[in-house]
Amino acid sequence: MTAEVTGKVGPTGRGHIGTMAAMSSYDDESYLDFIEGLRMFALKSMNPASAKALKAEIAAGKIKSENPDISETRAVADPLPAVGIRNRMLRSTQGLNWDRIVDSYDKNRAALEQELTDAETAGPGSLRWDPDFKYPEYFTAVPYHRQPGSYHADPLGGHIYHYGTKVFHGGSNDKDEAKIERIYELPTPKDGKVEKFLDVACAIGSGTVAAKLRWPNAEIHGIELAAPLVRYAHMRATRLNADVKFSQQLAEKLDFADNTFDLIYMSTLLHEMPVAEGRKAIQEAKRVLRPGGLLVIHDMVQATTPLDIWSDYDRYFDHRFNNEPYAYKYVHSDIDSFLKAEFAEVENSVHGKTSTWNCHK
Amino acid sequence: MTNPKREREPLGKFAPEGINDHILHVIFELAAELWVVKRRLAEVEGAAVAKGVIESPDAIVRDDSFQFDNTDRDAFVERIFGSLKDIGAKLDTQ
Repeated sequence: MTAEVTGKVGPTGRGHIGTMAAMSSYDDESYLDFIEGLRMFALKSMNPASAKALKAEIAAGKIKSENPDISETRAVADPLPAVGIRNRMLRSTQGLNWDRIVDSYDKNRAALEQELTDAETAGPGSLRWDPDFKYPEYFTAVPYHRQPGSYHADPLGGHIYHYGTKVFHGGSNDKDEAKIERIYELPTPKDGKVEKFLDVACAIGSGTVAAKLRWPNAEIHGIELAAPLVRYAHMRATRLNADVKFSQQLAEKLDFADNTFDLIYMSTLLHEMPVAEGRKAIQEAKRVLRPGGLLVIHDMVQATTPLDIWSDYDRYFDHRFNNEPYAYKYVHSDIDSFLKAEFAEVENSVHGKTSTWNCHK
Repeated sequence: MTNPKREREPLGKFAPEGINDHILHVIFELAAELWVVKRRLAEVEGAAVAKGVIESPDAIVRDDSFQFDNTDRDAFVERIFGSLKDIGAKLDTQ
């Protein structure tokens, strides 16, 4: 299944890729296509080469401990040529990606902002947001993933994020296909009842809209902290005729009543916030989850013992050079113990770099 | 909002001394490929405008029926940058 807009020239005058407005010029699109390819090369070729180079050093006894401190790992890994080139490539592709997207959308900024405004009162879904919303300090401290203006400070933050993630994920979700697949894989509560669904930190709402596809008769909610993202999510859902209720809310302070939802999905949120705030968000999700309901958390895999030294280095690289201020502490936070203490039953599965926790209340 | 000020790059942080030869090789390859494209594009654009197929090259609207194959793009990237993945842990400075 896919989601896309067809037959409309859109605000850039050049149509759409899936549901996102195409770049403002053919050259911008080609430039970003190349950046996408170069990033895929960094991930598929330079990453294994770098990991292999570091493992050779470990095998040669350059790192003694099975669980080295990151400074010890860096002392060995940073000078390795393959690692340095990989790091340069990842850092450059991310910066070139953002800069070109912002420059390109800027050419049609007025039209892009207008479509957000025009969609605000459109249906079939709804949008609640507050132009004077007070963001927590941890959220405004850095522009996440180096996105210019971060998620909250540029009205086009949703547009920029959407195209940026297209390049970041190598085009694998251009028509929401990856998100739709993930939502269709979600387990349900043990009694099978899904009448109210909540997507916590829904970003641009692609998972939220996918939930409406899977459960067309359910009441589907998506909450997101950043105004540009939640406004974009609503506009996108409107284009797709999806009846979804979006609202701007803090994950750690929801305005829903206790025991409201049957199924709550919390994807890639916890690594974007301090550990203490993340735990508040989990407890808040538990509060609004009904007894017998299910919270599904999908996020970065936790650090292992003994440590996967390359993965630990890679995660720290993101912390240092891709504005992931909280991710490194998150992967070392032993979330498993916390979840087991909070929920009646927790199932965990690992899929490469990500992990899923099914938490039954 | 206008563009926020560009973040300064941490130059000299990543790639160690000694890889300049590799980088130069990449640049030569890239420049050659770029020239191939520019030369062909000028010919094609000129012909398309002359025949009234397009008013100007920038008027091209995205059309899902016409998509470059990622396989071609990825092979292009590999051809230019592929040598970098073989550098590994040591530089051959002989």
